[in-house]
Amino acid sequence: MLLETFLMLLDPVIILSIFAGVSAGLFVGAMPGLTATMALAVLLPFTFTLPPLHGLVALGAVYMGAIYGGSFAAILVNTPGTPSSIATAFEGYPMSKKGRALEALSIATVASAVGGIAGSLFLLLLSPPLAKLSLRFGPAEYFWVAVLGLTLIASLSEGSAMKGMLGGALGMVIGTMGVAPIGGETRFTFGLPVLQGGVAMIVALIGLFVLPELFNMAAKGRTALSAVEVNSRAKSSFWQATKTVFSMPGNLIRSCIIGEIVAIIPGAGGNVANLVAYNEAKRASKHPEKYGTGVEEGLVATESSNNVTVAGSMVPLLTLGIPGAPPDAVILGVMMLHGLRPGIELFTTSGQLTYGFIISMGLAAIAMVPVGLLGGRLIYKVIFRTPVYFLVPTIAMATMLGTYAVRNSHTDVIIMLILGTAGYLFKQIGIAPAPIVLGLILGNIAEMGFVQTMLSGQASQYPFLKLFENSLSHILIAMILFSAAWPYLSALKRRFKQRSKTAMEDTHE
Amino acid sequence: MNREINTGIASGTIGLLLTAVFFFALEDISWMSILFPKTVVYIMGIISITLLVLGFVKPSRDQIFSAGSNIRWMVTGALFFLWVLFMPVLGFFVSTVVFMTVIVVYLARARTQVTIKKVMVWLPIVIAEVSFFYLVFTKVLYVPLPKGMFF
Repeated sequence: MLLETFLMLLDPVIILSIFAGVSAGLFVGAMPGLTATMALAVLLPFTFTLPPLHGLVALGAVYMGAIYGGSFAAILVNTPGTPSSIATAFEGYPMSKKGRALEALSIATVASAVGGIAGSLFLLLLSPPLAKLSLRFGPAEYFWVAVLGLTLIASLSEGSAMKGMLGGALGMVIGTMGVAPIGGETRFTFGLPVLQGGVAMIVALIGLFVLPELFNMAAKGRTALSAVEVNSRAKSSFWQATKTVFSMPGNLIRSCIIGEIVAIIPGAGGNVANLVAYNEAKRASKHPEKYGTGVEEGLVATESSNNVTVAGSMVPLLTLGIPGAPPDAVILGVMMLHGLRPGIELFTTSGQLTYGFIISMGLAAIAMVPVGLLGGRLIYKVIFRTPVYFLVPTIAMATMLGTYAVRNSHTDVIIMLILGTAGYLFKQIGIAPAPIVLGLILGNIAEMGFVQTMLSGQASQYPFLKLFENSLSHILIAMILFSAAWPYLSALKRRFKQRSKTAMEDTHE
Repeated sequence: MNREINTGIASGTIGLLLTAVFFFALEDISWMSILFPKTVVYIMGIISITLLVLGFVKPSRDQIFSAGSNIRWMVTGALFFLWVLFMPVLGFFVSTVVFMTVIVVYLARARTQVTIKKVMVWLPIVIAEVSFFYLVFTKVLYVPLPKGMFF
């Protein structure tokens, strides 16, 4: 059946849908503020008239392109186009500052394509067992997953871990503003009705990442790209980028597995996967101290992991009907519209359609290579040749539009400006924006898990013990302890090595 | 000018101020809604105090606002705020054309000599750019952008 399905996908209209979908997704993803969910929601009406397979293929391609497109803005202007590319900026932008922007774009393209193909293969081969695993995640496990994510703060804090923790706590508090997810009452509105809706994560993300960069450009009177000569010998060709990506198989495999594990947990998508994969790549690296200066390993880890989540998050969607990430909810809507019900029937009665959709996502990942390499060069040239005095207001306009479009809210744009200005001031005293955003993303997941667990434990004398009941929770707690202790363990190891080296030298003398 | 400060004390102080702001905003509502925010506010307070103590015991001095012209980023920031505040009054299109042109002229002064002739070249570029985004958002993406006294 797979071969038949594959041949069916070679229809020129489907191939065209894939290329058009990837290009549209790439454009939307490259615009800060416009997310993959928004791209899918906007392009949804265009698929109503198409047959089910064509519609699903086009939407899958848009999703894939949007997640990848986020890396463009992250690499070229230090602004994650989507929350899935936060960590891409950590290494991609320093590479751009060194005149290696094209190389970074090529590496991101190849890594994204590999991640996209790996995600489709995971989905094709591992759907049933992975779906069973995702069912074992209850509120307590969600809470521990969020805490595990928060241990990344140490590596994202650019210097002092304590300042990073302050940023993380601040992000969590900002995330609690507005209506409580459980309980329904409002918190921290300061008497302002406009704050009842809370601070949308994407609004904070744009403000905290984009505005400090714009202020920096305005202060310096130049962009990071205009400050350097393009390295003509930079390894920017497709083949060289492919060589670089495949020269680190361990990193690639680890990041793809992380992406898949995060993807099957409903509620956590590329926004969490890219940060976890980056952190693990840094931890496994022989030179973790070089991270943040333009290390290819970090870029490969983030871009491969976030694109794995595109197909990966379809596992709970196709098998259980649970959207793994917000864009999946749109795809679920399209499936329902065409009378397709998630579950085993999808793989039997509508097998050809389902497998066609899965394989098409792999094809979309391949289509990203030509589209991305051409698009990336084009965007790079535009940014490189635009004078800073045009670039600053243009990016500002795009971010204002992106922020406004999240909820059609003028207040959100004001909140974005306030957070961005505060973010610039915080950055001066050593509180980086990444931990604040991480706190904001994971705070919500942690709160839901924590309060739901406490509620379910109300019958017992000590409700908090519910957090420690399941074996999966124990595994997660062990991982948290290991993750939190790792910086100290590696420092201890380094010190021990140094001491034994000195002792050896003394003996030789 | 030397702009070196003890960032440990600075971040601890700002952290404590923010803790106070959120602590006094904690309301008497059901435990389900307040338990988590309350816990995080307390944690933020503890971290801030730790930062302050570390700032005194192990001072870390860093340069702040040392990159480029501070006046320029502050003026640009102020123009961003004015731009957004005038958006509901003038409408997205008009306010964006006006403020983008002002920012372009202001920032260009640092790189080149601004003449009327140059402004006359930049203005149509700004209008074309804003028109493109305006049309994409209103006609393709169906985002209702703020309308002011004009459109």
